[in-house]
Amino acid sequence: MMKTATAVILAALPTLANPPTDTAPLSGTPQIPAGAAEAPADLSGKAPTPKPPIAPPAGSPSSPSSPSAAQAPQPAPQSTNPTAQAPQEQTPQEPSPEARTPQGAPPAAQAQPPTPQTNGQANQATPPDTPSGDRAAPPPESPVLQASVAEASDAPTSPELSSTAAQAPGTTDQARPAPTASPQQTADTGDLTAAYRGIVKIEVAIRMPDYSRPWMTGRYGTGNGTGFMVDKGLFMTNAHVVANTERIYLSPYTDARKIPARVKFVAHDCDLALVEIDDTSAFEGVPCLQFSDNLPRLEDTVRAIGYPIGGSRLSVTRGIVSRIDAIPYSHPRNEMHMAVQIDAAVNPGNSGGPILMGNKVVGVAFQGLTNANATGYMIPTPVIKRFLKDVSDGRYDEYVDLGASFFPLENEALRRHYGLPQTPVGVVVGEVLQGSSADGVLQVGDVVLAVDGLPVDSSAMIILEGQRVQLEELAERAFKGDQVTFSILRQGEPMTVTATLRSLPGKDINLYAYDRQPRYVQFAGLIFQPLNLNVALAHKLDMKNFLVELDKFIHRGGAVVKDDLVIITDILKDEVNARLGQVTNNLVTKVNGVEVKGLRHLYELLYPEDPDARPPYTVIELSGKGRPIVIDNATVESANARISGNYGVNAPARL
Amino acid sequence: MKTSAYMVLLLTGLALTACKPTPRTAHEKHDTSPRDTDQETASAPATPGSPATPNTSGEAISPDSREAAIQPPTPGATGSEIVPPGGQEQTDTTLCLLEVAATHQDYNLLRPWEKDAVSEDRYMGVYLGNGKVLTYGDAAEAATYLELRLPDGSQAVPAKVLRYNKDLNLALLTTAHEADLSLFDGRRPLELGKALAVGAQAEFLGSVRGVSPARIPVTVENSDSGPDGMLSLKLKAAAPIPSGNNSQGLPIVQDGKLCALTSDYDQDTLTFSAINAELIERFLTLEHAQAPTLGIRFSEVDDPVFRRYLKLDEHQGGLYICDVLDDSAAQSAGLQKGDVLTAIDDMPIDTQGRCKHPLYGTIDAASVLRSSKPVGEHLTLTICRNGEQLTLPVALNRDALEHHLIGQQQTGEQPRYIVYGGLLFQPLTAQYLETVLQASRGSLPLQFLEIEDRMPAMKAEGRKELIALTLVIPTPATLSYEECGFCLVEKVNGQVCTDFGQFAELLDEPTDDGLVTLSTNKPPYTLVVDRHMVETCNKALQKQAIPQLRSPDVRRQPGEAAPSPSSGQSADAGPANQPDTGESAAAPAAS
Repeated sequence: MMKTATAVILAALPTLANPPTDTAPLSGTPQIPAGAAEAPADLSGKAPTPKPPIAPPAGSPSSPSSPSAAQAPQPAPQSTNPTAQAPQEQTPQEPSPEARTPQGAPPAAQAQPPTPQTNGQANQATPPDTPSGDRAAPPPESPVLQASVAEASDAPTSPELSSTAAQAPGTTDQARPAPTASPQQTADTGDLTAAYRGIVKIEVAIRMPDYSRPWMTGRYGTGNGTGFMVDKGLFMTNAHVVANTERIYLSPYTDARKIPARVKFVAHDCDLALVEIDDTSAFEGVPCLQFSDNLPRLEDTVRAIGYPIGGSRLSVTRGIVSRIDAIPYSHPRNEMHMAVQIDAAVNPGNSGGPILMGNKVVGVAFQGLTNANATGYMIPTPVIKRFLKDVSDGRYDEYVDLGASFFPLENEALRRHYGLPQTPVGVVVGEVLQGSSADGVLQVGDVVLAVDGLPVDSSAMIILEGQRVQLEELAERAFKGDQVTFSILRQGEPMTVTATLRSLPGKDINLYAYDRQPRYVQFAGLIFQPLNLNVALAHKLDMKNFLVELDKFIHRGGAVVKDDLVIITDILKDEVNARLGQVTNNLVTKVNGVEVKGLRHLYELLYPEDPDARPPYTVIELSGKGRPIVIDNATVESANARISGNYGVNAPARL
Repeated sequence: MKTSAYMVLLLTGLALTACKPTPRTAHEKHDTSPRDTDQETASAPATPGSPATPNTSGEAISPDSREAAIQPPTPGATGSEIVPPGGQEQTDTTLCLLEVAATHQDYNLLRPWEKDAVSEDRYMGVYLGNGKVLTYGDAAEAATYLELRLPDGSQAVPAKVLRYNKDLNLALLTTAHEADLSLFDGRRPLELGKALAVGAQAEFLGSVRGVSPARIPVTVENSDSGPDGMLSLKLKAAAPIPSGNNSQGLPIVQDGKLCALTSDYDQDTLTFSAINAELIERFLTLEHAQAPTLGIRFSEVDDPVFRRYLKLDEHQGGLYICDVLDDSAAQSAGLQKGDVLTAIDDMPIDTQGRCKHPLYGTIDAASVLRSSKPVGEHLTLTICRNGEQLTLPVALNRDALEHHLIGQQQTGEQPRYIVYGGLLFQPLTAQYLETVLQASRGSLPLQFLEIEDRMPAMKAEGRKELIALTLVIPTPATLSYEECGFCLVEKVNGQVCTDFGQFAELLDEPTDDGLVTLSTNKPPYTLVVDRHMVETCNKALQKQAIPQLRSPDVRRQPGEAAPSPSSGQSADAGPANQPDTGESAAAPAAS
């Protein structure tokens, strides 16, 4: 009995992680059209999927190759399709934030139930609607691609290359020739290896910040991964490969050079990054890898290419597409996006490497599972393309959130309550998060009938590009500033409301942060840190201990008025604090009666510009209704100096 | 963890300190002489006769005086002296012992229509005469069957509970059938003696496998707070206790009189925990000697900087009041957050939050608050507010618990619930929350955690109880509501739910459209069921799995009934009933 009870309860407990997915459970599991019968040919016929294909972040100012590229991601020609199978393999690597050397499993992966948003795994039948409308779709000329192609063809060093090159041009531009045929030709032939020349080994030196002693330097380490050229001098890899790096070298396939590189864009939330090099001489004539326009289908054969586990030679493994689903990305933790599961070996070091089908990139290897065999994961092209498009303006804006949850209207009584017919249409707004995109737009109890003109069924699914997906998938494909229009019934009145999308304020608190130095304040031996996932993990705190505070901060608008939730994480023993008792792991609410709005504010309160302006005592109030901390200000200055020396805390704060 | 653990404390009502009773006889002496030794002399007065006196409540609780008379004459005031083992009378010590066999089964709070697994335990009991046996309280808790046996196992009869006090953790039993009273023929009752003080010497009375007598000298080494904050003695035995003695409910005797009843025994250290005679006397004298709950949260003032800040004297101790609960005894007495409680009934509190108690020696002030006097009496609290000394008399009660929106579920009592088309509703109780907390390994749903902040507003709406939707059983009526459990039901058809009985009425009230609309505190905040569908589902549920869809006393006014100990229970309670006298209170939450 107890067991059952447990299960029930656990299931019901809120998962902090993905607030918006609340509605998900009921809706069916993603359906994967196994058959994928649609002829690829059709697609190709339609040629243009509006989404920018591979477009490398052309927009990026510095990208050497092409200004022109910047604007436009071109409709990539859809690639041919999948029927043909290319061998693939992938190596997953787990992005374990702390140690990036090879290690095992992606931490987060198993924890959360995948939310069912499936995007199609098969080719999308209806290319024409672009979900993410406004990002102007650039005209179909893909400078980048062409450039690379050109180069490739110019310098066909090897026969293989030439063939690739040859093929490439065809693909780049609009119309692709009948897909079915082409892939087969290339498959398993030597030509495929031409692409290998654009695949590099990435060796990094990292420094892992120490969130448990935030004033410390952190640990140095090294790691390696794989990357591949998507534009001249520009390589795609995983964010976790280049996170917290101090130094990055790329080694090309063909020679031993170590080419210094730097991160140009990094998207920790979807584990992708672009690194750039100045010296492109090693890649003269090397073609850029090109992205497929379509998701592979189940059972398609793919190859993972990379430099796993220490080897300096390229490794290729092959497998099939096992599943396509939204899963937790372990690098950011608590983020879910679409991923493709493959059964090719994906090992540490493979991270960031391309997954090829034929000679097209269908994904980036990024994580595996330690407790399961033959499961590697790759980031599929829809996620990659979203990233590329996001950075095309020179900046990465992160994913956006609708900020509302939708409750299925499957219960007959509930439908009657909202005056709806017994047809499976419409969902009710179950929650609107303050400060989110939906705040002030939607209200709890609104019945959503359509979104951007797409009918919403009673389990909160919409048909997007031919795939039945969760309504939240809209946000998954959208960009900051995009608008979403909801057709709703409010108190029975039909109306249309429009939300401008942005990220949920405060969501970062629940995402693992990289490339930053830990922030802290030291006062009288008390170590104050902002509560976030890094701090919680470093101090082995369960974020569930702060459910109420986190709910207020993330969901109830707390993040709009506050910068941080500040927590006391440690106490460096000294006579000034010797009798404070157990004060760690408590949130700080007030200092001298003033509500603390964040770490910086706390610092200003504890260290006023004129130290003599301090009252006789500093009174720090904590959540939890214990007694306040009282520090005698007559002794605190000398105590701070003493503690700083004794414990090696060089600065009173890093804000 | 902190938060949740803290929350639980709060929810269980612990945070409130309570006071415990001091037996009438004993408490006069506390005054100012905290020394254990003095007290012996001082306290001596009442003792010998006292056991007989406390017969206030009719039911013959006190040992029969005649039987008492039979007992060897007690040495009286000198009781504290060491009695050489065996030095007293040569009578068979097993004659005052009985074994109590208890079968326990409590309700399952997660599925309140059914009960949990059965457990069986054995305790010892002490014959007090007149057919009454004093035993450790756990024996009576959620008991489904009780048996009294002679120590040698030669005779066993069904038993029933005459009185049970959960706070004091004592129970008084007798035979279930009058005809079985012959069980006591030839038994020798023990008379109640005087309370033991730290340092006193006494004697453990037991048996060797139930057949031969055993007496072992014991010394009161110190004292402690029991699990629920009640004062408890620690006695060191001079020799290991022979086998055949259940460790709970054994008598500790001085001068041939009962001075304490054991509540635990640690074989390794030869140490007993025991309930002192003053508490036994309180139990026998007062029908409802519940431990009070003041309704404060406090913390020590160990920190000298903090003491200076509070304007306390250099070495003055006390308890800093972090919080005063609404509608509590402490609030009624005028206690405020920020006050420092410096003395209880003139017993000063030191910087470690301890008092020097005449009987118990140095002991947590929280335990003194909780156990030195029962509900209905007064304590005098001395406080320091902004450097000024004030004296506040506090009328001891359990308002902090009883007026709390989160109720108390008595062990062994049928929980109230309604199964409604697959939705399970229960009044929210501290015990239910604790159960959920354990089942979920330490975290409560947000919807329950947020209650604390909303408490004043909810009281202002006239709520006396909180109604929780605790489980959603999949039925056609609950389609798509599967994840909507573990939340509060705020309103039914737009009307605020104030208590469970009223909630039941609201549910049953017909509506024009046949729909029942529930407002909850969890997205999507509105759940709607169709009354006809509910009826259909109810029938199916009843047939398949849940024979009783509502607890019998759904309409009972919880506010009053639940928390107050049922008074009548005692006399005629059958073996299966247990009186719900005391309540658990919880340990004081000091930080």
